[in-house]
Amino acid sequence: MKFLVVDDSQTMRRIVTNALKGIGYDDIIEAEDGKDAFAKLYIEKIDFIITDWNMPNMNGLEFTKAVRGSEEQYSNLPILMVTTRGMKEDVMEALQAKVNNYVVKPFTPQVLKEKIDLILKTL
Amino acid sequence: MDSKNLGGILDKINELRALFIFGQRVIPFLEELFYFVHDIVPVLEEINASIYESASKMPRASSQLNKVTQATELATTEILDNLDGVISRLNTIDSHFQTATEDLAAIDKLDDSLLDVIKSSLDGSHQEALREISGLQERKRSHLKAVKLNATGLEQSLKEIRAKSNDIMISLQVQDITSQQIASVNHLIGSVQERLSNLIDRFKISGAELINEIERTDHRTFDPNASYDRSDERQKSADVIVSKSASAQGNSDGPGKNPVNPTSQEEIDKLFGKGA
Repeated sequence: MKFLVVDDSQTMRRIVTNALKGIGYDDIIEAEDGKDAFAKLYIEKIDFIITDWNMPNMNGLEFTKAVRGSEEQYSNLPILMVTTRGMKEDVMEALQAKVNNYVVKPFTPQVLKEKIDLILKTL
Repeated sequence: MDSKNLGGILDKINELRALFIFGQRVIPFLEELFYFVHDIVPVLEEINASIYESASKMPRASSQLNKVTQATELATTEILDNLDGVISRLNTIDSHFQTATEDLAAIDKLDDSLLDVIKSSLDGSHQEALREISGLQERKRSHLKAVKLNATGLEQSLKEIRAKSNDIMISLQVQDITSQQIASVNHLIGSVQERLSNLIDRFKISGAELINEIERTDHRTFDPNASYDRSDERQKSADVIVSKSASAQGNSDGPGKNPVNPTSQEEIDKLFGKGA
């Protein structure tokens, strides 16, 4: 299973990648914003997207909407939003943009695993 | 000159008298006002200079904050490099440890087989020597038991080191969170400087054109409410919303199913009550 980790913070990309490796997923590529990620969707065969919200050029919400509005082969890709934004309105907005689940930073690898498992179980 | 004209002159004189009386009363106030303006000018100049100085210092403050973000990012990367090194060594130790444990068990088994071979070869003779060998075997077993006990302790310590390493990694998320907080403060400084610059322009303070624009960090979007909160309260709240949203969609399995049919704002409002 190939993961696409999208975050403008190099630190966060690395932490998410390390957490994924720790829970058994080794095939991971990274993108530094939504625009970069969207371009990578067409180059790499991605199975799962983990995206931050606050990013330059194209934020996580815009990226999610772009993915959901794209060709069928990408529009149903599982998307997990991992963000500092923990307000009720934020979660609602993300759900309306059609993310599959939501993780609030700082997160633990256990929470990440739990959400990935839940998404994969229900696909 | 008739009495009517005389009356008019007297009225005018009265008006002049009233004017002089008013002037007498007003002059001290005018004097006070003059001294006040005289005194306030240097204060206003000082305020202007202070505004100019503050506004001109803001780009430097902003730049320093950007440097803090860069430095913490660099330091975090170094810590992550070291953590990767620690975790890699832990994996090597784990692997060696596993091999050593298996080797010890194999040696124990081989010793048993060796004793069996000796016993069957001696065919009942050399009982004294066999007893001695069995005794030695028992002593060796008790040593092995102690080694295994230590090994268990060592294994536990390795697990703890791994858990601590993971904890450090989780804590390093603080870098992303603080950099967003710093970006938020920088944005605020930028806004204040913009207003002060407008004020300086309006009062035409000399040298105002020398103020540098704050280096815009807006390319990094940020969450102004970002906070480093390691309690799971915010995650729990998010989970409740996600779960209720999934239920509202009739997806009892969880929120992952059918992302193309999201909960509408109306449905969410119904779930939580508007303004809740």
